[in-house]
Amino acid sequence: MVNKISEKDIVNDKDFKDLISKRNTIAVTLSILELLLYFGFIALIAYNKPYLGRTISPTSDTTIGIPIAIGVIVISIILGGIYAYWANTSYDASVKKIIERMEVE
Amino acid sequence: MAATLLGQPNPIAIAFFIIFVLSTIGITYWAAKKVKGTAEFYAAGRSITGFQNGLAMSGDYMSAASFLGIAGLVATCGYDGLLYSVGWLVGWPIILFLIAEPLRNLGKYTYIDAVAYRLSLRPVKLVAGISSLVTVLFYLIAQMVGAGTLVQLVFGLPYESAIILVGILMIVYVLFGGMVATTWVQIIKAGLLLGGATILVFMTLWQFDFSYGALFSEASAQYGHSFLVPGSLITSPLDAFSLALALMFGTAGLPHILMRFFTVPDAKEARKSVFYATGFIGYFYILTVTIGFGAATLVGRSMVMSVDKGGNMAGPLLAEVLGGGVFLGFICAVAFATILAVVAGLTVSGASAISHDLYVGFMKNGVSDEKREVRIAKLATLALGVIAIILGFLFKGQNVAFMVGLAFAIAASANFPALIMSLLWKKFTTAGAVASMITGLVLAVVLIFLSPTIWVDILGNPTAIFPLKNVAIVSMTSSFVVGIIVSLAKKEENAQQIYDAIIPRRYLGRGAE
Repeated sequence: MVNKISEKDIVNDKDFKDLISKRNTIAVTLSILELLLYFGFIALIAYNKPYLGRTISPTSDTTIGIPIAIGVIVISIILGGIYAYWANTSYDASVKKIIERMEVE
Repeated sequence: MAATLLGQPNPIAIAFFIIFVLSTIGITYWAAKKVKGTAEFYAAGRSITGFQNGLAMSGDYMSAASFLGIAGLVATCGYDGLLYSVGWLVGWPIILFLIAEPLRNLGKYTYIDAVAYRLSLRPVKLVAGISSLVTVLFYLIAQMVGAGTLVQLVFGLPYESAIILVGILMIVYVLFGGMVATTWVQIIKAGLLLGGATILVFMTLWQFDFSYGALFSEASAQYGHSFLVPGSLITSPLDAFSLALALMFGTAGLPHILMRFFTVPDAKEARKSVFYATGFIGYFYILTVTIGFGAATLVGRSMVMSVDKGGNMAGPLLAEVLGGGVFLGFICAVAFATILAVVAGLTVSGASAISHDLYVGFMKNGVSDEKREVRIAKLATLALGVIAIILGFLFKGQNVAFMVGLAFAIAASANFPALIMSLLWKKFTTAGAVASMITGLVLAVVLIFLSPTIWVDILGNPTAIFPLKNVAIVSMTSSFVVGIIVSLAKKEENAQQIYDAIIPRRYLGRGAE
């Protein structure tokens, strides 16, 4: 038999509470990483241009600043990918499980 | 490079462009049959997949400012151009982590729906609707003037006819095809732009035996080591952080980008959209940076600047050096298609701010029948098209590059703080939202007017009243502070109760539209 689940049941469910606190922790951690990544890069531009101007090796003319900038772009895409993958597999599966379990009880 | 075909009519560009216009009009004809109610007009019936929407989002985002502008900035200033390519990308992960799910689960057609969800409808819709419209209009002016100038250079058409052509096409797409047609125009344009830029980069790197090291060595040999180091664009640390804030959080407050979240069926597809969009945009920015360095070395900085002082023709000129008139024509047609698609996206968003937020939300307190709302939205589309044409005429020959910056500053200062506080902070109130949005909007506009960008460079005054070129560090911070203080000053019981009541909806998507 399927009971109608009230919003209250969901909010007070322990698994649901654990799940959203896990979700928020992951989202906030990743956001902080992204902010550190970007503002770290900006801080280098603001306070340490000479470092960004060093060449990556004695024989090369490429400056360190170029791979760092491209790195910020690539790492941003990867961080987004990590979140999207986690949310679309683990998170969504748990959400489904919680709702199904509550419907049976 | 000594001479260019730019400036005389290019039959290849015209042919490519006509093909683009005919196929997009064909799509609009097909889409027109599907657009029946508000869900189709504003949100393409929520039938777009995550991958398609990722392409469409990147299509909305990769404007002429990023394709022509970043390549031009790199070609003329070297490393400084990279600041923009990085800054315009890093807002996307933040959108994904903090905004995507609650926005999709709580909103209906515009981001303002999600802001107003637990607050008093009318005041929030009024102020947010105006701020949304102002953001869209500044962005639109920059695109219109860019389109007019580009067409003048490439097609040999007079500026005015170019503006009218863009205005009419955008009205046709949006008026008849709504969000359905706009989405597919974006997808085609994104494909063309990514494809065109990839070929351009492939041909550039071919000249350097596919070695980036060789490309940078050549750049360094021609323009010195300083070309590969951050330079004159950023003068003070404060300005650097201020620009960074506007670029990062402005992205998360652009109405036409946020509106795309409602074209997918659920939060899962919304997350996918942002991930794909981030990937496409990041890849594209790496391409534009390469195009910029390619233009600097293979075309030459003085040649680039002789055609257009701002360097905006760096990409097309590089195409001409590498592939002659045919490739030049193709890249120019792609650039024009880019502007056209962005303009269409802005128009849907502006029209929805007028019809859904200001008319239904504010004037009718959220109650209106669907037929009437669609009719108002279509009237708004028509009006916006006419306004865009008039603004394009008014700003002919003006330096409008700052207007994209202004749109980002307003988005970061007025739209983003209210959105994120409404989504994430339980104690946020209606009064707090209204005060925060007004503070952000007024400060962003007034401070940019008083900053060196307008006060000195455009109005010709000797010194600026506001010292920074980028205003977000003051306007965005103030918007947050005012929003927090006003919210804490007077509790809004109802807003807090709804915040708790919608927890299942925001996390599980239960009852989401």
